[in-house]
Amino acid sequence: MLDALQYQFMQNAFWAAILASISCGIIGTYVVVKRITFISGGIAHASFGGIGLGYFLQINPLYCLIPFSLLSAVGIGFISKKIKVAEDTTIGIFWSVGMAIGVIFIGLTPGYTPDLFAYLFGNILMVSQIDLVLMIFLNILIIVSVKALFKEFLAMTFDEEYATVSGLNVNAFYIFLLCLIAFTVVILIRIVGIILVIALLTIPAAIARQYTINLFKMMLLSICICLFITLAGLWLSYLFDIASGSTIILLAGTIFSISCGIKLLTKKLIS
Amino acid sequence: MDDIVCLKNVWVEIDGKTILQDHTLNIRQNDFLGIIGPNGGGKTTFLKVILGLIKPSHGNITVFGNSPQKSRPFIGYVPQLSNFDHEFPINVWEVVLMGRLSKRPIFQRYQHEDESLAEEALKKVEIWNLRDRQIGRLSGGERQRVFIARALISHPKLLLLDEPTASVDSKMKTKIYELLSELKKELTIILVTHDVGVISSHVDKIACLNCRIFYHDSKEITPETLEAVYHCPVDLLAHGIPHRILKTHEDGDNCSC
Ligand SMILES: Nc1ncnc2c1ncn2[C@@H]1O[C@H](COP(=O)(O)OP(=O)(O)OP(=O)(O)O)[C@@H](O)[C@H]1O
Ligand SMILES: [Mg+2]
Repeated sequence: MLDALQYQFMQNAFWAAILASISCGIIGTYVVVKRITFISGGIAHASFGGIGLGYFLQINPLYCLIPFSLLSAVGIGFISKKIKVAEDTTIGIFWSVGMAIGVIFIGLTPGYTPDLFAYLFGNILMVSQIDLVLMIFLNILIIVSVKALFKEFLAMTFDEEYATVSGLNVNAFYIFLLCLIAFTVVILIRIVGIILVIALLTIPAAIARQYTINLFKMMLLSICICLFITLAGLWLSYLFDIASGSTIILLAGTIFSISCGIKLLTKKLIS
Repeated sequence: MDDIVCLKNVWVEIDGKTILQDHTLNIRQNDFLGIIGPNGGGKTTFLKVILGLIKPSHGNITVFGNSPQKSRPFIGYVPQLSNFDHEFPINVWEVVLMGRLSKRPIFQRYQHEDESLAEEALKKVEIWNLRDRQIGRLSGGERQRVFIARALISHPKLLLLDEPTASVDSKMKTKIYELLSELKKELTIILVTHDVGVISSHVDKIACLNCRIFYHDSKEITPETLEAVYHCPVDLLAHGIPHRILKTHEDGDNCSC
C-alpha cells in the first residue's frame, strides 16, 4: 500500500477518502438521527439526471450533478413540507424521474459514455485533482454551516414543534439540511457511486450511534469510522484487484454487523 | 399594553369538524388562567392557536398585539406530548439549554449565562442529578420536569402549560405550583389541567372549554357552566369550598359540539 502511494491516483484516492469521511461523518449523523436515509437516497438517484445531462452536453458531468442534486433536495423538501404530499411518495417520484431523465440523456448522447459505471458504483481510483478541489470547497461549506447552525440543527432534528415555537423557521432549516446532504452526495458519488451512496452515508453514523449519546461526539466517531472503512476498503480493493466502491460498502456492512453483535453480547452479559 | 392575548370570534375547523367554536376573550397581563374541560374538548388546540401552530379558520388572534408567529420568542411552552425520537442522542442538559434558543441568534453558541440558568432550573425541579442522562432514559414524570425547566429558562412573558403535572408525583406537583405562584407576579400564565384541586388553590381565573369556551374573567364557575361543558357529573372545588355536582346526565351525549 505504502509503495502504491507513489502513484498520483493513489495519492488522490487517499485524500479523497479523508475528505469524503469528514462530510460523510457530519452529515451522515444528521441523516441517521433525523431518519431521512431514503430522502438522501432520493437525492442521490435523482441527480443521475444531472450526470446524463452532463454527458449529453459533453461537459464534465460533475458540473450538472451539483445543480441537479440541489434541485432535487429543494424539490423533495418543498413538496413534502409545503404541499403536504407524503414524504415517501415525493422521494419515490424524484428517485425514478431523475433516473429516467439520466437514462434518456445518455441514450441521446452519440457514441460512447466513458466512466458511466464509475458514477453508478464509484471508483475512488479515478478521483482527479479537480474533483479534490471541489471536495475541499464543499467540505468547507459543510463544516462552516454546521458549526454556525449547530444549535439550530440540534433543535430542529430533535423536536420540530419546539423549534418552531422557539421562533425557528423549521422548514427553511430542513431544506438547508437537505442541500448539505446534496453536497455530501456529490462528494460521495466519486467514492461509492450513486447506487451505494446511502450505505456510506448511514452505516458509519449508525455504528457511531451505538457508542455515544452526544451528537457532536457521534459526528467525530463516524468520521473516524468512515475514514477507517474507506481507507481499508481502498487497500483491500487494491490488494485483490476488486471494485473499490463495493469493497468499501461490504466492509462497512461487515463492521456494522460486528458492532451489532458486540452490542447484543454485552447486553446479554449485563442482563 | 394590558391585554396579552386577544381572541376575536376565533373558529378552528379541522377536516370539516369544528374543534373550537367562536372564541372571544382577552387575557390580561399577570393573569393566571386555568383551563379545564373534557378530553378532546380542544384545550391543546387552544394553546396551539395562541402559539400560531394552528391557524384559525375564521376570526382574529393577536398575542402581545402582534401575530402569534411574531410573538413566539416571548412565549414559553410545556407541551402535553412531545413527539421526539426517544433514541435521539441528546441528554437532559442539552434539551434544557434548548430553552434559550430564541434568545441566541444563529452563529452564536449558548453562553455562560444560559448554562447558569439551566443549572438553576434543573435544581428547581430537582433533576440536576439526571443532567447527563439520555432523554429517552427518563421516567414520564422526570421528562415532564425537563420540559418545565426548558420552558422556564427562556424567561417568557407568557407561559403556556399543557397538563404539566400529569405524571408528576404529589410532592413535586406542590413544588411546581408554588413555583408558578411565584412566577405569576412577573408573567402571564395559561395552565391546562384536569386537577380541579389545583385550580381552586392557585389559579386566579378559570375557563371551561368544550368546543365553546366559558370564561367570565373571574374565578366563578357555576354548576350550570360545568354541566354545559362536561355534560357529566363533576367534582368541583371552587373558592376552596367543595361543591359536589351529582346530577347525572340523562342520555349518553358525549362531550362534543
Ligand atoms: N391533528 C388533528 N386532526 C384532526 N383532529 C384533531 C387533530 N388534533 C386534535 N383533533 C381533534 O380535536 C379535538 C380537540 O383535541 P385537543 O387535543 O385540543 O383536546 P384536549 O382538550 O387537549 O384533550 P385532552 O384533555 O385529551 O388533552 C379532538 O376531538 C381531537 O380529536
Ligand atoms: Mg390536550
